[in-house]
Amino acid sequence: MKMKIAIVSTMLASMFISQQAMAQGSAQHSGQAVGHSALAAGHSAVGSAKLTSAAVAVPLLVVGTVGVASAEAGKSLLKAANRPIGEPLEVSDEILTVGPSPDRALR
Amino acid sequence: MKLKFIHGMTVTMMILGLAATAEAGSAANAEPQFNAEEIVSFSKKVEKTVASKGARVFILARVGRPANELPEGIHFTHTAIGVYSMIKTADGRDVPGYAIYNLYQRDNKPDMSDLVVDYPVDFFAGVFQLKAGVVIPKPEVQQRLLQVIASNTYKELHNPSYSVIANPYNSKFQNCTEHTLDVINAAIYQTNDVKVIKSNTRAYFDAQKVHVSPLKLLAGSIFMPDVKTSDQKRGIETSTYTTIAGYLNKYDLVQEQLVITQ
Repeated sequence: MKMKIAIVSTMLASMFISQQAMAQGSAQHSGQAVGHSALAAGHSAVGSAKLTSAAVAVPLLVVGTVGVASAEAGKSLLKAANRPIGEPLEVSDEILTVGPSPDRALR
Repeated sequence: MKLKFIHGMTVTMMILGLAATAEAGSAANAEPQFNAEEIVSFSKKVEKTVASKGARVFILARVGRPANELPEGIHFTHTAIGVYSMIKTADGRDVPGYAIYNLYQRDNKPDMSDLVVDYPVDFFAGVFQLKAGVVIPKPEVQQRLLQVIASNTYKELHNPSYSVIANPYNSKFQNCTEHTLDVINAAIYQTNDVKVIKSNTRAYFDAQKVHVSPLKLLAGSIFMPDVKTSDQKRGIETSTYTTIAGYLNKYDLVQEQLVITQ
């Protein structure tokens, strides 16, 4: 009986290891790996790009929808909010990244 | 004694094997496959490509496992929504860029999830291929998506009970693609009523059938907290980036669909 259990579980184990079928996970890739290597490689810079910590992102809504970008957003952002969807948009050359998760920040 | 040891080892191997399987989007501590410069360069390429096309909102997918380990019909392992945003930096400046709205499994409790906003370089860190799936919806859909994302509905649609193979036709469990699909249908139908969203999903959305042996499934549901089958009725059906793209294409809601590589 024990032998049967061992054989069945060995077969199952080899099946699981040889096939990776349920490939839908969304475990978080930490930005820390990139951040740390970037810091190690070039003191807050990767090549010519600057690595910047982002505090908060606010969707830039289109004029005519609720909660349009406020005047505080600055002229260029207000201009972007006024553009019809589909016109090319400006993006910063800075490399924005989130900070570490709270548990990692304590390590 | 020897048998007990072998049995114990095989059970451990089973759990390890399934863990590798289920963490298909790659674990938080996964060894990076590409160096930092490659990740930064690729993520900026994706950002600039969608910006050049004027996308305010787009569906974004990444490959978190080696291609030869992905089951038939699944080409990407994690799906999220990119939103053109005003990003306030830690030093107080406002800069334009894309924020990525994700549903991520918790590191220490994989059967639960959180909504997390991050940025392209975070999104692509640890991928197995420098490849991004992008669907830019038509402007009217983008506008409606923006309204949902800026409202409480985006958070209200989150079900933290996670299953890697969640059935998109009901609300028992949810994964990253199902939350994305729920947000899309909330936008299309301009509703926050989950019953309406699921009713329309059942009527119009074609899920991906996942072919997994019953034995493997049984063991998975026993040993892996994020593999659940109690929400499934006709085999295993789940939502994927490809089926979401197919759904939007079928009803002529796509402005442009592209795959961006290095």
